[in-house]
Amino acid sequence: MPKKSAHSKRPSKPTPPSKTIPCIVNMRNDLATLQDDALSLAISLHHEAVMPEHFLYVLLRFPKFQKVYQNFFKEYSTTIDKILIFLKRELGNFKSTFSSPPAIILPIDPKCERVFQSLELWIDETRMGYCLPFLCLLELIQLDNQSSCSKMLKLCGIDNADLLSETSYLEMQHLDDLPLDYQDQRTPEEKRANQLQRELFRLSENATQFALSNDQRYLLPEHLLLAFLTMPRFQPFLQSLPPTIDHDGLLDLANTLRQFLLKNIEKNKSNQPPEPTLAFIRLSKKLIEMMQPNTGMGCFPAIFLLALWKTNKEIAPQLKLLGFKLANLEKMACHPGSLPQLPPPEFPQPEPDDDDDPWPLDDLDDDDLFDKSLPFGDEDSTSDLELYSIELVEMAHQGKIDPLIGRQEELDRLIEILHKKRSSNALILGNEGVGKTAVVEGLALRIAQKQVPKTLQEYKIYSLNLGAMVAGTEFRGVFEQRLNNCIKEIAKQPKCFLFIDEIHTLLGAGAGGRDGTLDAGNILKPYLARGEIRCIGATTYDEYQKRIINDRAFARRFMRINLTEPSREETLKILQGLAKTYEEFHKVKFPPEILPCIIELSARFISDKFFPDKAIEVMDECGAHYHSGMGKGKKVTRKDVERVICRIANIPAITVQTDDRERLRDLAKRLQTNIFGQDEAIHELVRRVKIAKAGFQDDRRPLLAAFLCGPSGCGKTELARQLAIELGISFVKLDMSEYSEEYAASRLIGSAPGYVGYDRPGALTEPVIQSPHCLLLLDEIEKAHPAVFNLLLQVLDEGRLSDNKGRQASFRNAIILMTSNAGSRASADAINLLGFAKSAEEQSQNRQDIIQRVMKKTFPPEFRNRIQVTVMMNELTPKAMENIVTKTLNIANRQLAERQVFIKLTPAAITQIATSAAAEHLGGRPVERLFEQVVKQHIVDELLFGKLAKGGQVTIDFHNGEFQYQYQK
Amino acid sequence: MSMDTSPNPTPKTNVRVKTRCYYLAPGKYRVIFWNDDVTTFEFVINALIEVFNYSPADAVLKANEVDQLGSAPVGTYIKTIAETKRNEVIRMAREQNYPLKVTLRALS
Repeated sequence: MPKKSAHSKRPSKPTPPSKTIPCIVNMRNDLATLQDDALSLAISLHHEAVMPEHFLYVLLRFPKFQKVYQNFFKEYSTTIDKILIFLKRELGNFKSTFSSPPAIILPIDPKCERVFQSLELWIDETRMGYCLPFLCLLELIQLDNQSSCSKMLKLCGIDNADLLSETSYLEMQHLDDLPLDYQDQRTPEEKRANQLQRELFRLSENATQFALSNDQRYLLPEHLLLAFLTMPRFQPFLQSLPPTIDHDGLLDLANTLRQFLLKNIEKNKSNQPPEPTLAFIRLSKKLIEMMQPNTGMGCFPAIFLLALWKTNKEIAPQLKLLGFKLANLEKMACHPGSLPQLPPPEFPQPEPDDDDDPWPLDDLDDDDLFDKSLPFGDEDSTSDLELYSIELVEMAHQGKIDPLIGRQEELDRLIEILHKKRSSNALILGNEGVGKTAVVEGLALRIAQKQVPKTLQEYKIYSLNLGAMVAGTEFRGVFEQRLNNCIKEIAKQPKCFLFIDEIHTLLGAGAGGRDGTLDAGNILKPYLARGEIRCIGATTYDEYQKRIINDRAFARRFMRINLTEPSREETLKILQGLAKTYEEFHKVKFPPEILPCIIELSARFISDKFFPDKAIEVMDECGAHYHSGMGKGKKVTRKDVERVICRIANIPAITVQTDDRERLRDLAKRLQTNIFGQDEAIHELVRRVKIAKAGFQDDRRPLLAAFLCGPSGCGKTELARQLAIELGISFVKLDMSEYSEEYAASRLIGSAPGYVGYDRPGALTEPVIQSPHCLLLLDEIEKAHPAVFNLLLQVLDEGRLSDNKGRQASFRNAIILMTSNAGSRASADAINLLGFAKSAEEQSQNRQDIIQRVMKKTFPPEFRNRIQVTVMMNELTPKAMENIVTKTLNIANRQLAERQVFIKLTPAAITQIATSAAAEHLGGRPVERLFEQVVKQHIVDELLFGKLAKGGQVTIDFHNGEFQYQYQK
Repeated sequence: MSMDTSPNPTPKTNVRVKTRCYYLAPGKYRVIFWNDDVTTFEFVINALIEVFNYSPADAVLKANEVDQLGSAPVGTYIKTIAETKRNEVIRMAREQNYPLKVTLRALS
């Protein structure tokens, strides 16, 4: 039996884990190296995917395998180089794509992927010795004929059997790694024996194939004989037999054998491969014995027939009949090399038109393909500058740049700086959105329109695309190289500027983990200093402070131009100038009066952006609304502007709209439907709100800063919440009892850098930054720590608070309400203590005094000073309690509405609940509890399982000291 | 049929017909199971199903036949396959230490 069959797997024996076996480790590493090389090759040839041909190429060039392959290919009358030549031509036929920037990773062709996967599986199975060179070829030859790899190998005369036997031989050497000077130490006899084994393998493979394809359960020696008689490989031998042999009989025999085999062997019913019969095993044993190196046998067909004769009693007479004689066979067997010597393989010649193939693959020295320092090929193919920069004057010529309005001063200064002799580099500083890039584009536009001094005519401005330059740099030095190339090209051209937007990114770009001593900035510096290139940079103040100012050497080469935010008039002019462009683009009309409206509203409500950016953005969005078809008509109205600004600034409907005024008018009434028993407080608050909204608003202070005092449970939080809902602003509640420690102050604005929680936003600043129009409720403020008070001081006065990241939260549009129970206890006690039945006003005045006194004690004067109004809230009267009960009832009914259950409380029941709740002197909260007790607990069973399960009505009455429940459908 | 041009033409006619016809009519051999006291029914039935492609019902019948009659033929095959099947059954039996006896008998 052959030692290894393509279909069988090695039986597993307990072995040490594969990870540590040296030969496996080495094979894995080499395979990985080969894969990388194949990828590099594919990339450098600009192919679309990694194909098996790439792999074969790098395989044949792998230094370790050179010796082995040379010896191997000698047997086939060819050399590695000849194969490589053909392979190169095949590679040249692949489609190339030139992507920009060049790819760093390519997909792997599925065929190639399969090869890699099977190789990995084989490596894991091996464990005995290093055998990678032939393993790879074995996998490649098993690809289908579409792949030129297998075609080429087969053309050489190599087949599976050869590679398999080479692999096992190499494996049996038990090498951990293939040395560079590996010598094949087989004697000629051994080599001959090897050849014989391969023949046997081929024969048995053919035989097994027959058995498999006919689904047979057993393998008979007749299979081998049939294979022998029919395989083309052995035909030359059969033809060369002397005429004493019955050649026709041979053909007959083949046919008879076929019939015999098909008739007499049962079908295979299990998934096992065909089982060899005892006769087959005997034959194989004999064959192997005869093919040992020392027997001196050399002619496989003769050996085979001899073995057949000797082991098989049925076949021997057949052979005799055909004219074979034992003695002749024995003589023939000893003659070596009866298989014809293989001629050198003829690879197909290229077609004539391949000669003017533009891709000079043949001329490429192999070293170029594997030159790791230039993985992406030639320098001359595309100019780096073209790849990584945009030419602004060109874009201006194409009309892609909007006109620049205003900024004449800054532009003049820029031009001046560019004319300097030394350090003629400009750095434009300004906040984001004020127009830094626009200035440079404006310059490009002027150059394009020839509106510049003569000295600047015909200049070009290259805007560097740093992102593209950094992307794809696999190896150290590639980024620097690209940047260098760009700069060199610019230096070569006398009439150009380099514009680097966001120049702060340069410092630190390309440093790639090193300490940044050689980053892009340091590469630029010498050029800047010598004046070889003229550079314009743009960055924001923030980034300047953070990055550039630290690199003084860099900073000193630039002259700074400050770009301040334009005033409203200037912005208006800018908008007027740009309106036409946007009108054309969006196909709308901007009526002239709408532009000042845009500016005014965006100035008021968009606080985190700068002019002219925010105004232009609003204009653009308004136009886009009509452009996209979501708005009908052609004119932009004020309403559109308002809506756009609402969306951008994330605020509810803008003030000073008629709807809003109506809202304010009956604000008090609507609040009273929800909050009971606090009419004074409501009116007071609403009055203040109206004052603020009417326009008497301080530019700095919050909209309203009020203090809500009252006993527990009287509705302070509820009032704040309802007010927020009615005004349509977001409601932010902060429970100050959580901030009773000193460190809590940092929770409100965020931790300092370096401390835990630096990333977490401040509890106070974040909601206000997100939506500046909000109602801020600070509950139980007397519980806060004094440090927290100090924070609030600033809020109440200046209306601004900076968070840990330096962002400003503007409280200008916020309503701040603070609640406290301070004094409520004292005032309650006072009432009880005094005992006199005082009049209502006197009582309330008393209470006011008491509360004022307690407040003086609890809060520092500077805090109290900043509160605009202190609103007193009363204890809840029984009437108010009844209202609360009704409100709770309404909520419950709304919850049950979809189950079609309705709860009705008679006035008696309501009064009872109200009075029992009031008796606790805890404000409105007991109502909830009592309601649950009285109503929910009782009806829940009916609701789930009983009379109300399918809807209905329950009437609850209070009679004779207890509650009575009546259910109706 | 080609001419027999060997110097000593032996009267091979009978042999020729016989051997020539081997593949056209190969000799058949019967495989016979013999009963013993150790081998279990279960094993015999299993062997009949696995190796001789009996259906379970037939296997039971055949096993009973062997038990009752002392021996019974289980199948007829050409020599090489018969001996292989016999080998397989004996291997299975010896693995479990059953001394099952399986013989081959040439037919005609």
